[in-house]
Amino acid sequence: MRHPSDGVLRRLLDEPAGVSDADRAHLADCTRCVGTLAAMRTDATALDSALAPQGSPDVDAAWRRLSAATPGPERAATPRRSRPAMRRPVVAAVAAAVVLTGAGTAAANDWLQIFRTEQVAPVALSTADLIALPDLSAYGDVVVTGDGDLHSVEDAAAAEAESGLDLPEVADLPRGISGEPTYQVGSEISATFTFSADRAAQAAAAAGKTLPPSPAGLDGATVRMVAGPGVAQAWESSAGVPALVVGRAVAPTAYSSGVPFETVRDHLLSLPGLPDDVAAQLRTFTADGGTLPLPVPSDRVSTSTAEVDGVPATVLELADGSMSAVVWVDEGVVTAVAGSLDTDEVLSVAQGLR
Amino acid sequence: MSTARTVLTIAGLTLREASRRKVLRALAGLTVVLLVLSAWGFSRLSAESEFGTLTSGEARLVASQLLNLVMFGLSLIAALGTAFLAGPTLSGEIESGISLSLLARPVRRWAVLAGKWLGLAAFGSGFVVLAGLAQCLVVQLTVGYWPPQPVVALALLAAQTVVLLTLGLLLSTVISPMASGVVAVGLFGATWIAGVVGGIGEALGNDGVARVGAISRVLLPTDGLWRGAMHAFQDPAALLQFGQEMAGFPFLSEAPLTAAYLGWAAFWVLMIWGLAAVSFRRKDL
Repeated sequence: MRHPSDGVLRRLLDEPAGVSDADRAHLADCTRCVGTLAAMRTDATALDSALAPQGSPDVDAAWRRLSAATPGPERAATPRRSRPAMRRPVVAAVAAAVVLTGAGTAAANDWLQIFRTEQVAPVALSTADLIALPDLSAYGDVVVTGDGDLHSVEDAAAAEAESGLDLPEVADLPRGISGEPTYQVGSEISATFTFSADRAAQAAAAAGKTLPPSPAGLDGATVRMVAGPGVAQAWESSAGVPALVVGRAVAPTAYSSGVPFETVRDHLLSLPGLPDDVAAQLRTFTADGGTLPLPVPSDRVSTSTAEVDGVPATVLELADGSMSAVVWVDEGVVTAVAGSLDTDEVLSVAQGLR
Repeated sequence: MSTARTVLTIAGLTLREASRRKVLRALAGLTVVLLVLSAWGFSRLSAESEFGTLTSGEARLVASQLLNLVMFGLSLIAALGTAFLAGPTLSGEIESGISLSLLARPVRRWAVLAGKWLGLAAFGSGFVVLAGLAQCLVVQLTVGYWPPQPVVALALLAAQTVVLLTLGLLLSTVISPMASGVVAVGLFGATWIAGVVGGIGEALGNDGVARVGAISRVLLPTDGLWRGAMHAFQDPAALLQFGQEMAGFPFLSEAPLTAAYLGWAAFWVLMIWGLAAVSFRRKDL
């Protein structure tokens, strides 16, 4: 049976005489409609009490006051004029239109910036990072031998012959990666760096800072940093960016005479004005190959540890999860697997290398 | 009775009225359809062999783009819903004569208007936040992507709804219920299109066309707020990956909003609400 609409039920409260007998008869034996009507009655009572005027007005007295105060025809216009201008709809609408026009003009002339300009610097781990030297020329004399010379070669055999390194072979490519890789080889690069306290002081002054005191014997100390040779194979994705890179290089090492290399390095890292990328590169050089052998910005990368073929490895993941890498050092050779993959995928590629 | 209590009473009544309208059921139905369809789509995205050419990192980027697309669908549903709820609530009551009995009581008209606005704002924001959160969870469960700033994004989406319903409220004090809904939704769509046109202008380096977007975002802040929300939903790496090739793409937002623009949006709501109050104050019942 069809229930009467909400409107009909409400009419039972407001205008009971306007409800047909059929609807009343329905109401007599329909619990659902009775329930709805009860809810409506509660609502109506709540509303009445919520909006009820306080106290009972003295209508006769009010009428007398009103009659006495009714203005004559000539005074009727005065209150209109005394009302604040902003309360007149036309004035308010015109004012709003003026504000909107002004703001529109401001936006058109770039006075009101809608978007913040924000540069998201890409975290790029390129194959060149495997054999890069920090630029320390601001802090002393640098003599570079060998230029790294990163270039493409035909195939895996040519890459192995040129670098003298075993090119790791990927057993199973992860999902989404197919085709043949491209091969790149970089030769050994080394630099001899002689620390100069004067130059470091100048560099610090240029950055507007004062130089912390140098440890004894540091001025004139010489260190030799060696990186490479290296070899890498890269698979491109459909978007044209490297989807998977597997690289191997002789781990960056440093030799020193006189002062230990760590002393030189830690002092350089403590200097004001050292660019972040140079600092990251410098940290990769160790006398014993102990730290992470790839320059990565620690603020946007989370690191964890894992094991690859019984060797401890460092697993890196970009904060947004779009890229990960795994890096490990075995007998002076650093191997890196990186790509737009998750950490499980790069680890399984790393563990499947032959 | 104090004015604050009037406002809260009317807000409560508006919420109850909105929850009883068929619009609510339509909104809920559309949202469920959207959620189910997107859940199916996202699960296919991670399973389909056609997308086997994407690595897991790239699939996440695609997911973040699709999330923006689906969120736009959601914001459209919210815009339609609030505009067609805000329209009838004032002019409908004026037409049916309910206002006549309500406003004869010792309540101020602006308090009634504020109550209606508050109720609708709570309703619209609540809907957007709940449905948006459900959508984010669907994406998290199917492809494992979680937006970088979900709270900011949902708050901006809610602000977009509030902006549109304020406009709807103003329109409903001057024109008929249906017309006010149609005009509000039409303006919302026109602003979005103007934003897309402006984006294309920016991509082509044409300042005149780019200005179209900037001006429309100031005149009606829905598109600007939507772009801010989109920026908070998307993967920051998406810009680096797609940025150059896909400049002007309407579902990729390049930058977050400035505080000045957020301030302008708040002032805009206040100004339009004030205009609605002035208009409603002198409205013939």
